[in-house]
Amino acid sequence: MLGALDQGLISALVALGVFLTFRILNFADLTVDGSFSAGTAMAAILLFNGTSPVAATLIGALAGAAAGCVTGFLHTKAHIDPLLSSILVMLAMYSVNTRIMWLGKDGVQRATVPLLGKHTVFTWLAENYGRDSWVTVGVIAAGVLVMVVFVNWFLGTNFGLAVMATGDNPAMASSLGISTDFAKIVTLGVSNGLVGLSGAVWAQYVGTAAIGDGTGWILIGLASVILGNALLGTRYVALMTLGVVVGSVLYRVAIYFALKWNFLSNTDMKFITAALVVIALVLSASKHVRTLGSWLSPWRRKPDAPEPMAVAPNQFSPFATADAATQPGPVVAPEKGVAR
Amino acid sequence: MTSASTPALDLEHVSKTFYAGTPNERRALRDVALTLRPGDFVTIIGSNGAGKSTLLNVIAGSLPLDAGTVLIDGRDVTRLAEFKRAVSIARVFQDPAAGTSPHLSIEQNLSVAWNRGRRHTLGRGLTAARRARFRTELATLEQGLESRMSHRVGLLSGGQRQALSLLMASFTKPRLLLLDEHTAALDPERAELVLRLTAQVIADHHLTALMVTHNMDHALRLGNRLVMMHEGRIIRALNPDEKAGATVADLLDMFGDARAQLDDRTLLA
Ligand SMILES: Nc1ncnc2c1ncn2[C@@H]1O[C@H](COP(=O)(O)OP(=O)(O)OP(=O)(O)O)[C@@H](O)[C@H]1O
Ligand SMILES: [Mg+2]
Repeated sequence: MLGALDQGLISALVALGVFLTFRILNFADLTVDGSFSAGTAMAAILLFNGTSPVAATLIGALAGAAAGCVTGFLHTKAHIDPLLSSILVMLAMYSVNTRIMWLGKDGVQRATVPLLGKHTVFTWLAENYGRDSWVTVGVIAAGVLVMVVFVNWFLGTNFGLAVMATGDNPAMASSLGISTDFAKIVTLGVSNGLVGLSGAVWAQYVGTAAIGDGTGWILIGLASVILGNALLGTRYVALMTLGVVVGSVLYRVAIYFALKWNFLSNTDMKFITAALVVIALVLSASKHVRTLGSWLSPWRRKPDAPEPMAVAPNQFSPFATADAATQPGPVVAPEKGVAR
Repeated sequence: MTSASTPALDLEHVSKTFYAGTPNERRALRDVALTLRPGDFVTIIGSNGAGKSTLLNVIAGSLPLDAGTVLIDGRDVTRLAEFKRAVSIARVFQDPAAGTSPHLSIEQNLSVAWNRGRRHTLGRGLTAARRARFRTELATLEQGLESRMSHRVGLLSGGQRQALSLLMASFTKPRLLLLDEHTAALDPERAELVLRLTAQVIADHHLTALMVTHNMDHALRLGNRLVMMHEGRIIRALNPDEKAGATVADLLDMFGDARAQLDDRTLLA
């Protein structure tokens, strides 16, 4: 169970990255699988070669960021569609990551880099508190919290606002003097940097890096974002980012309990993931869960802060009454069953 | 560098053809020339498809042109990307949803617009000083928006969004303000209000402006010059004296005459 919490928190960094691209930038970025492996491969080989854990982790994150920037360049400069440019990078990263794993100082071409006995960021924790402990959970949680704060800070800066505008209304953004190309490249870099960081920490957590490690992380990230936003809502960026972490942890805990049933095996993970995404999507569209969301975070229920779902579609009939136009109230769909 | 004699905007031989060389070829702009002195406010009228929006897009840089030059304050910006020109050019679009960011709050939208011509730094996007500034600016719109600054813009009515767009376009005092039928999507009452605000900000900030409209009355009431377009050409231009004396009936006559002349010419050619 503690292990599920650890894993959920580490993968929350992937979810934060996915949140930045899919939710903020409105960019369907599938680089994730490639940048996650870049993180695991880079960190693992550096640790294998004796680099300090902190440096190896940071360089792993940078490797992910570089992959994200390449996707950004392909999209903005070569004008390749977001989905395709990120798939291309994901594909290419498979080869790149294989090469990275060959960089061991003994010259052996490995498909798996074992970190057994190597000094990692978890060594001190494991020696003092054991493999599974609340202290480890707490330390990872603190690290993830720092990243949540970082993402919130980033989006609150002048540049962050420009990024949000780029994702929300790119035509307006460039008409206001924002280089949407630059905003996209940087955000893809930051997003995949977070994913690479997750990969780097993950490799040290599981104690090994294998070439197929990255497969499926985009879906895990998306599942966490969808689940988290369905539970905590999308009214404030801070709640969205926290929700993403909550979603990621819940996802792992759900998997943990699913695997406890004897008839499910590890190979059923992918099916469970897909099923969880479907459930999260269905739940996020249902009235029921929205009340659960407000129950979980009652402070976001201000009377003048309507659900984003209620954001009116552009309703400007040329002869809309003056009243409707000046009414400051939220536009809310009428309750079912209420006589009109 | 800009002296009183340097035009704020100078268009020379501007041409734009869509789908050139195909059966769908559309010559949206044909050798257009237009010069605006600082402080000029030109209204543009013309039939659908005359090329008015294309003209504004070419000036702003959201469409590349095929031939000709665009000079702003004497500087050739023909090859400059849209986001770089935006330092001196601000726009309000016809669609109220086009000029604002629906998922950002009013104050966030204003902050993004306030950064026009500034570096997008890693400093706070919203400071107490900025909020105070925005609150007073919003109050001038008389829409009560100053008390709803943290609301998402997607919740505003079309008229409120256009008023906000106008503020976002004008409060940094751009060299050139481009308005493309920015009251067309509004009910008559809102349209009047946004029009009044338009006249007010242009006068207050001494802006140089181009305003496209299908409303002849608005075209005559606002601005000091008037330009009539048809099939990619400027077919009539009224100087301040001519415009001051013109009526809607005059405009309709002029339009009919100019069109007839043009059609004769194309028949002869
Ligand atoms: N992006 C585009 N791609 C192809 N053709 C275009 C494009 N934009 C405009 N056109 C064509 O160029 C011509 C001029 O269009 P434009 O939008 O400039 O006219 P307009 O004067 O603004 O008309 P309206 O009054 O209807 O807004 C039209 O024939 C139009 O079909
Ligand atoms: Mg038009």
